Amino acid sequence: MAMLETAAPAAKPSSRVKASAPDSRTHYRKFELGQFSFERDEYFVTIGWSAKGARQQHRMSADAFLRALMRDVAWGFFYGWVNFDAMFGTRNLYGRVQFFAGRYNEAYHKAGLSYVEEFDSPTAMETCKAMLRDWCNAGFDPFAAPEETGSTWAGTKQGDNIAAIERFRVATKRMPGIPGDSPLRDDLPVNRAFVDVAQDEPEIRAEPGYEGKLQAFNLFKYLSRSDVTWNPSVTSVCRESLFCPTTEEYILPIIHGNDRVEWFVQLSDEIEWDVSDKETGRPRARVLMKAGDVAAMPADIRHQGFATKRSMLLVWENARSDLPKLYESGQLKPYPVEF
Amino acid sequence: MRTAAAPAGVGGRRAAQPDTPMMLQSTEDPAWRERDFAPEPGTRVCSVEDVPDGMAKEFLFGEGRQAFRLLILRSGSRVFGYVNRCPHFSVPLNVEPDRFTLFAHEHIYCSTHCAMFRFEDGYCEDGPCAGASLEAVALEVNAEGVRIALR
Amino acid sequence: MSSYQTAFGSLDKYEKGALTIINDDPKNYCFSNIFEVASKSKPYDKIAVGKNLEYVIEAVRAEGTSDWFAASHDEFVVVMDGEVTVTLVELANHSAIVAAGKEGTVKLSGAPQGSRMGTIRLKRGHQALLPKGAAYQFSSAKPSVMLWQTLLGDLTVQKWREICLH
Repeated sequence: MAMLETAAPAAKPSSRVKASAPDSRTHYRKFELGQFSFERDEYFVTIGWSAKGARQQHRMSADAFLRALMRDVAWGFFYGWVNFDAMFGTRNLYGRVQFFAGRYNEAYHKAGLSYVEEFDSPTAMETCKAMLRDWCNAGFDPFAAPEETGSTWAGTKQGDNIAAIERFRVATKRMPGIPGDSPLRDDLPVNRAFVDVAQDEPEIRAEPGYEGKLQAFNLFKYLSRSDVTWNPSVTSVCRESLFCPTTEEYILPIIHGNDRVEWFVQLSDEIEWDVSDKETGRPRARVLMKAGDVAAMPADIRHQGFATKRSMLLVWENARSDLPKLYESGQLKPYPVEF
Repeated sequence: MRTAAAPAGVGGRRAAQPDTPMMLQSTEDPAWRERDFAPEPGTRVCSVEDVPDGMAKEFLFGEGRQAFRLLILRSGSRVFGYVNRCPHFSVPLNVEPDRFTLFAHEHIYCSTHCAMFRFEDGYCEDGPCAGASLEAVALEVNAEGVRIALR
Repeated sequence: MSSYQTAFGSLDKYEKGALTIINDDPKNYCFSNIFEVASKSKPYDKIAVGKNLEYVIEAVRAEGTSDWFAASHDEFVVVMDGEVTVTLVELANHSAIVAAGKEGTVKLSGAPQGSRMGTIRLKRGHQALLPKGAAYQFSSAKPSVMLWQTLLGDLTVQKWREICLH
């Protein structure tokens, strides 16, 4: 992978995926990325790395791993830290990505058993995508809530679900529905949890010559027709201020340690958030948000949400590229307002 | 790796005449002209050699965070201009000045979330905005260098 | 028949969540509720309920007819309760009304000069673009609530201690 300051182009990212032949029993492939190894069996994904002169291992439920991996792939390693659980995750360095095991787990790190390795983002992404393709069985959608998808994540390899993991992606320049911008979701059905959400559209009365120039849409209708959970997508762009609402059901598949302040506005129903320290994982707060509540998520925490009823959440991000450095250096305080 | 066919009119070679500009990008969305500090047609940007071969360089017009950010990609004698703004989250493709993630001559990635764009037309082949494109800015090359194409 | 009931808040009926502190400062979370804020606001006061450096989201009680507003950049509103009609005018003299680079909403001193673009009637859940280059006025027959996405400006009211849990 070539960067501007190095002249020699490396091999294509897709050719650098290190995968084994399918296992003779489970038919899943094993993968390697640097010193990390990844393998799965009927129930678990096992992540391996070296520390203190010995091979270390961590195990997680395969469905939880795949749900987290799906978000990392769909969001291009997202903002900041994507913790798959208390042990393993990735940290976006924007062009580079850090994979870590135990680094942000206080006990493991103090015991010298943690490990961190950095990669070119495109190379690491190709490995993640290959794992997702190989390990997601037919009938399992890692974007769906458990009630909506099958339990075929378990067991030996049975087909795949490429359509689910490579869904059409939305890119919004200004607002959905504007000509030339991302489409509305009129072709998608209303989710079972939102059949009582009004589907009416704003009434636009344009003067002659201004037809098509007044722009509005039903945001709640748009969200009611989302076919994925815990997947923010942009619905308004006000310079670097982005509204990224999403529909949430069950558990946020990652524990997100943002590298900047972000805000939540609960549009409907409720979500409870477990908040812990970004560095150590020690619990700091629990935030129960109900419809109309607004809360900041500071830049020095990690959070994970729980929602029994599918709910609509507005995630509000500041997309400025220089923010991670400003927060990390202490030039910006980790909380948004002092009062 | 499949190679995308260059759209008609892009990257064509013809005998250069001293004062005859070579149009190097024809599929332009003129919406970029409405942006703050958008450079005027005919504005000279740089010499071809200012952009390392196979690489990318950014040129700013105006000041502050609303400055117009022009991204130029170069492959040999061909240069391709785009607004430096990823359609995924409307952020520049680079997080640090002139530091880009790319596979020389072929693809440039958005450093924020790994969207992968083709050099020759800015089409996103993979990543979180697959199917979208960078906003193209038509450029011309003549004896004086690279300039914003005349309308 | 679905057994799910989607719960939205409103000025007449909302429930506020809760903040359980284990080892933190509640002020770090700037926890407020837009319906509570709007229930105590004067019509069209723009109360910041979120701030991320120069960007804000404002809770606004829409009641009666507002002044005319404009900005040097796009803004957006989402109606969270009630019904609001937005009237838009394409400004003939935008640069005279709003200086280039001026951040946030500005209030016009009188009626805007320009061509009437039309109206947008918004109900709960509806979102409208307030485009750069236009002036806009809101009207609502009964108290309603809007969420306004913009930059911190002269009209933004910050009263965090009053609205946030601490």
